[in-house]
Amino acid sequence: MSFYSPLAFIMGFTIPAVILLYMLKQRFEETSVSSIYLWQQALNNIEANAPWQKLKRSLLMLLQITAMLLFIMALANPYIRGLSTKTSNLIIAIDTSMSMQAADTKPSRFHEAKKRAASIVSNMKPGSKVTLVAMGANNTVYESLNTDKNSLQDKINSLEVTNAAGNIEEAAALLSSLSGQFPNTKTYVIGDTPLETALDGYEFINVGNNGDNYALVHQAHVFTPDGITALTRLGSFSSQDSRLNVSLYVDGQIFDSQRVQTGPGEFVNIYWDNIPQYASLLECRLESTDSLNTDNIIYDVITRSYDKKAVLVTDRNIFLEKAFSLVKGLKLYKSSYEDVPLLSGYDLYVYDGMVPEKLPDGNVIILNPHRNDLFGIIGKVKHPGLYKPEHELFKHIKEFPFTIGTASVLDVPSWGEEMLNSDKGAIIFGGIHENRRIIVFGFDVHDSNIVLKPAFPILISDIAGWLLPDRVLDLDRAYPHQAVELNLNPVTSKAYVYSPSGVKTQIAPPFPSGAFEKTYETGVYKLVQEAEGVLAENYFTVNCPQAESDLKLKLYKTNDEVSNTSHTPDGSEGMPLINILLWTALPILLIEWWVYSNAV
Amino acid sequence: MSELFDPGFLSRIQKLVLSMGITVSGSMSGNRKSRSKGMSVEFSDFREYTEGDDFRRIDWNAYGRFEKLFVKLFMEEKEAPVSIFLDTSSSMNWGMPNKSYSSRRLAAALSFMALSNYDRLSLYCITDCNASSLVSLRGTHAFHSILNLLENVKYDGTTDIKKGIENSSIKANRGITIIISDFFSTGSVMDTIKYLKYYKQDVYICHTLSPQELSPDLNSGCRVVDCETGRYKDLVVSKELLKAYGKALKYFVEKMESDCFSQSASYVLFDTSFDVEQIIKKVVGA
Repeated sequence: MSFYSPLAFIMGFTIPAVILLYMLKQRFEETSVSSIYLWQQALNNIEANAPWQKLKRSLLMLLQITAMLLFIMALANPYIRGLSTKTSNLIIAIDTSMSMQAADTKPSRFHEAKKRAASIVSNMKPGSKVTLVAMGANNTVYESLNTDKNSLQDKINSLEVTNAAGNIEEAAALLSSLSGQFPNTKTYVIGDTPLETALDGYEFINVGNNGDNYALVHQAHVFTPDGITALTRLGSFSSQDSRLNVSLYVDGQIFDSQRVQTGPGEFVNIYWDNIPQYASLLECRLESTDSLNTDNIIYDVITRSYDKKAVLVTDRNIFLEKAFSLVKGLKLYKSSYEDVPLLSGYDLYVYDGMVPEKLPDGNVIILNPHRNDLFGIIGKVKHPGLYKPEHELFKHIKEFPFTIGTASVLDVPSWGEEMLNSDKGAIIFGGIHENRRIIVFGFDVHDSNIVLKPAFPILISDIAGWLLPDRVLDLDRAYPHQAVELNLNPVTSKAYVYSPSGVKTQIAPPFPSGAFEKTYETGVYKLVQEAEGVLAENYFTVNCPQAESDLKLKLYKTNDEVSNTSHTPDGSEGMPLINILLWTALPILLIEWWVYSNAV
Repeated sequence: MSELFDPGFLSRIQKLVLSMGITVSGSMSGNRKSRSKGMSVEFSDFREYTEGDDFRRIDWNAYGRFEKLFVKLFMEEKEAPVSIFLDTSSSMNWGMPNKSYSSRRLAAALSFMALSNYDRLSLYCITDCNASSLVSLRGTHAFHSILNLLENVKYDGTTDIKKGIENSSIKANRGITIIISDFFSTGSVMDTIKYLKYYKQDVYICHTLSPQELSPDLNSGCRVVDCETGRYKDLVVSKELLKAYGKALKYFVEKMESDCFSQSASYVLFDTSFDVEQIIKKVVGA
């Protein structure tokens, strides 16, 4: 049962007023006496002159309270959902985002949502077509225009809650599209976050219950001379002050524990010092239970950069030599054109003024290329008009405009993207080809003033960073159900990922590997790369999205939305109960009058 | 003759004699023994003859025996001033039988008896707002005035008995004062009796209460309104409350009785459900 005007329950305060009136001394029938002197003495004797009396069981009072409750219920305009006489198309959207795991509604919000959905299905008019939508990171139509109640119940039962953050805008767009297909479509959104835009026939069913929650929202680390210092950020999504125990586990063993004081809505930074240098995995835990336990744990993988080797194949280029030698963690070797076929084992190959016939076993930079099989050259141009570069790698060059004397206009292959464009065509492009990261400069740096700009070494450093990634994951943070690009080694022949629960997923071949999408669980994922029979293991983490930890924010928003969007004045979506309530109240009032008249 | 005083009632009270066993003083002769020595036939005492005494009253037999002149003294019978104070406040017009009915019959009976005994009767109907009285009546022929007054008396307002008595014409002569009231009134009863005793009165208190006052029969919940003052009390009538009322009534009556006893006044509880004759017998016998 739902209510069109739940605000009417404010009138509930009148019930205590009725009881209060009964606690007051009742109004008595007047009787004239010669004197009240003796009665006064009698009352003084038994001390019964207090303004209040003990509440006695009174049939009249019970009848009056019952009648009042019925009137208040009638004011709230209730209706039984599902007992519709007009609606034949239903869309039931169930929120499957992480906040639905919250246990502030027992046993959980998601369980309650499924129960409500099942109730709607069981009460719906026979022949109604139901579209079932699972709302989460990806809003998917789970079942379309199904009329079979049993099948729908099975589908609802098979829905599972995720660890992902919800995408409410996308959900609104999808539901709007679905509801627009048929007239008289009733859309039920069951969850803890209402849609921001109101749809026709939309009703939000809130299953949240204002739960208190604490979450570990960020974990990071830095290397210090004394070891590793880690930072954990604790967020309080509670309405009260709390003292919480937070523990840090290093490689599975408890390292330290701290007691942290937080206030409502506060975020607290917790520092962990002197973590051993050899540590590889940090796991921080909130040692208490709250409404949502999933976000009480956060992971951080410690990755170490090792010195990379780069070889510069050039006739003579002091600018490149200087710039690459400034890149931190990169050892630069120089070689001549003649030795190119012999070069191997480098992480980065810089070819200045040539293109190798065969791609080496590392990532590649080619400057001032000649015609080759790897990519095409459209022609040479003098003083090309350079467009402002938009690529991320050129973010520092934007402020330092430069010019080029003569440049080759490059034919960007399918695997590459333009990085610097001119009025004649692409001058610099980059991309991943045969598992190798490649950047091509279509000009000789000697024929440009770019090398004289202060930003040139920064550009080279940024390019080296892109070509030689330290981590398998470029992202700082990965969240559940997020597709993540993994940096595979150029020589990797086979790669697969183990989820925290041990589920193995092969991601390559084919190459390029594409994004890894099965980040369903939170925790530490293991990437295994196989190259020439040798296995290399790397780790990356997936942690809970902070937006889902705040259980209260959505709840307050919910109440406003419900009152604004779910009201349907004609009551066509449910069977109205107002008349039943009023007709029930009438005989109760008559009985009350009879009881009063006959002094039963 | 009215319903209040039917002929049967009057004939019954004529048979009763108001015999209070006291002596009074006054100048008019009556049917009471007086402290004055006079001309009656009832011997009282001897005393030695002094100059100026009536020779005829010398007891010569005594002279023969004692050789001294003695004079015979005889009791002179005189009238007694009887004052009846009837409370005519609103509270006295209440109950079944109505206290006004019973109390007026009692007042009438006592008046008739006093007049029949050649006493000097004063009847005061006392109330704060509408007092009336008849004073110094003698002889049964004055009884119709009494009846007339009692039939037309109006019960209204409150009563301060002491104030009412102070405003009356009671003199410092020995006499009888009868107060008929429910004593739900202002003013101390004790002070009233003391005041009357100061004026050498023998005081008779007829405490008039109706059966409903002696044993109230109320609904479970009611508001009792004082018919005199309009003040009220809300009552949830329970066994405890009735018990407390009985206790308060007992204390009230016993206090009256003890006050009267301490001042040598006579106290009679007049239940209006009883016959007036019975009460008169109690008063006379008191």
